[in-house]
Amino acid sequence: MPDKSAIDADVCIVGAGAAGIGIAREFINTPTQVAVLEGGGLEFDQRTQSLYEGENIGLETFPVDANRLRFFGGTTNHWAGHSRTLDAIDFEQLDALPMSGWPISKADLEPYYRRAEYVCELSSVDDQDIDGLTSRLKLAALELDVTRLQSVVYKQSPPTRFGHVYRDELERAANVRVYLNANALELQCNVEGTVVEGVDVACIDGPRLRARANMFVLATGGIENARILLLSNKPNPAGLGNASDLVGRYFQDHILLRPAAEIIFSKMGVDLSLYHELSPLEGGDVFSVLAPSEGLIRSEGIGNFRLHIIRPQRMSALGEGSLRAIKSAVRERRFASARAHLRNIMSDLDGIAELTYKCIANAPIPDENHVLAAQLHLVLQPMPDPDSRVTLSGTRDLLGQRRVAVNWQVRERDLANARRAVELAALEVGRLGLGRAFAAILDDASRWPSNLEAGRHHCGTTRMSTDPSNGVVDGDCLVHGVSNLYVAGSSVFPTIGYANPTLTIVALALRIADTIKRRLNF
Amino acid sequence: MAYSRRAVIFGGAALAALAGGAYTLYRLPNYLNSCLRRRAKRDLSVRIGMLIGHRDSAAVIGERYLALAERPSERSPHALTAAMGRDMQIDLGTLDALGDAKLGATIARQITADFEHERVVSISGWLLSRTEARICALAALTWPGLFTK
Repeated sequence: MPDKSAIDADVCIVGAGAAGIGIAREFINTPTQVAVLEGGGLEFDQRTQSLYEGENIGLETFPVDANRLRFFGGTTNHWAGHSRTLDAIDFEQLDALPMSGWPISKADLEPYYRRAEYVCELSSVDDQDIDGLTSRLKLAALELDVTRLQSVVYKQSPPTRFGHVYRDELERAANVRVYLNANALELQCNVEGTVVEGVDVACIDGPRLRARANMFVLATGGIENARILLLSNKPNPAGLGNASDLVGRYFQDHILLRPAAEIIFSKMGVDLSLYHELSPLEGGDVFSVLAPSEGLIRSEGIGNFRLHIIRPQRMSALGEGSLRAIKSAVRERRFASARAHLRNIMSDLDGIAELTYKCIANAPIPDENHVLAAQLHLVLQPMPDPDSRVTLSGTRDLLGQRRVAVNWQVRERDLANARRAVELAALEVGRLGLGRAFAAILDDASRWPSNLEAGRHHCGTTRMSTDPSNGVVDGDCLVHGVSNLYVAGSSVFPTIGYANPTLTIVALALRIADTIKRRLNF
Repeated sequence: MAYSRRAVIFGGAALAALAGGAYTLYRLPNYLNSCLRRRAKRDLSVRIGMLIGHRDSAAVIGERYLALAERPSERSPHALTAAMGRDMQIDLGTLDALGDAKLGATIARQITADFEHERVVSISGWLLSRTEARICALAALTWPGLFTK
């Protein structure tokens, strides 16, 4: 397109990831003219990807650009596919969880979750019905103390690469035009800052354009949504929608410990296939994870979390190292393998209900090389923190725009929650007589284990609230004080639960589409 | 010198007694050993400690348990056994009267209950029942090194 061209549409969607494509599809074969602006092309390009580079000024977790993909389809191009709806409690205001409480309930989102599951090519099985699942799959769930932990259903998308799966459909749509390599620089508003009039767009080494529309949707991801609003600093120098200094704040990502704990089993033949194998059911694959009960969340004020049961190839160095540390405390003695001691103890004690103590004391132990073990991987909801935030850095990208600076922070309360989550799992392992669990976080609760990771789920930077002093967007994802700008994606999540965000992102996107249709008098 | 018949009889009896006594004295250590070993086996602390056949393994775990700062009051077999009895809410005499199999079953139930009621300890990151950690400590403390037969 020539330099200084204009793109005109009824609805302009900035970003062609899960949210942007999800909204665009809803307008196919309608009277609405839709323009989708995608900063990348159809394939990965390093120069375009460099526009996502930024500074990490918080916890050393990951390069700011490495977990986001800037081409058609967005981050779904490397999506793992794990899917689950948020729990009802994730939408509630909880005293123990600061700044919690969505302005909508799970019931409000439920119809959109059903539609989103179709878009994400997921099983249609009810993810709240674990008993129905185990009955149909004929797989056993652990007999957990449900006042502590419960098994919950998780779904596996193929995974759906939105750019690949929905490209043809969008290409054929006469009323939807996708503009590639169209990087949004900033949003231009009227003098009062209450109406978005256009988006300034630039191509690397190419023309600069303006996209004009009646309605705009910002759908560029949890970090980039905040960046574009902060860059859109006319008339408000602090950025668009930032009257309450909330744009970029409350940046949240799932806290990962992989592994969080290791289990050695004291009995052979424990069937955990429900948890570490995929089972096909109703059009998609399903599996189960462990999660806390609602009662526990309310009574202990613990953040929501999930634990995956993973069968490792071999015991990791963590557990072995700990047992070596025990051994080193008894220097006069010499033992071939410290881990064997714990197993020896378990083989003695766990069986004493069945045999006389003498027989068990003389019982042979399993060969170390064949001992059964499993890992637990923890995904933990963080506590919302206003100082965990995305801001603009002093460096600039290829297009001359200020890059982002990400300051991801986790707090002592998060560490305490992580420890408690692991402890609960270890308690159940012992109570069920499965074996015993090791976790570095149980040994030293004063600091994070060295394998702390971020989940790469960027959330919270344009949070939802009915109160403009507590949020950037309202319950319909409309920016407070701006009549025609919606924000789509995980940046609107006030709190994030433990579920991977993509399914909720798509559900919210479909809801935004319906909202816009009502405004356009469909 | 002539000895009276009475003197010979009494002297013989005395010699026999001495000889018998000497023989008894000779055999006393083994006899005492077996008496004491039987006595040690009947001691509840030892019986509980002997639930673990892998004594060296128990020593590793048990000594680490005893080194925990909050356990100074449990550094004796009696204290450990008494603590276990309190947790189980069973009189030690009643516990001691159980046969070995029933004692083992009672302990096993207590371990399960420990995990249910969070009576647990972290031994270098391994979450163990307090009861099983105490059993390991008992095994470490009561291993009768002198009584090796």
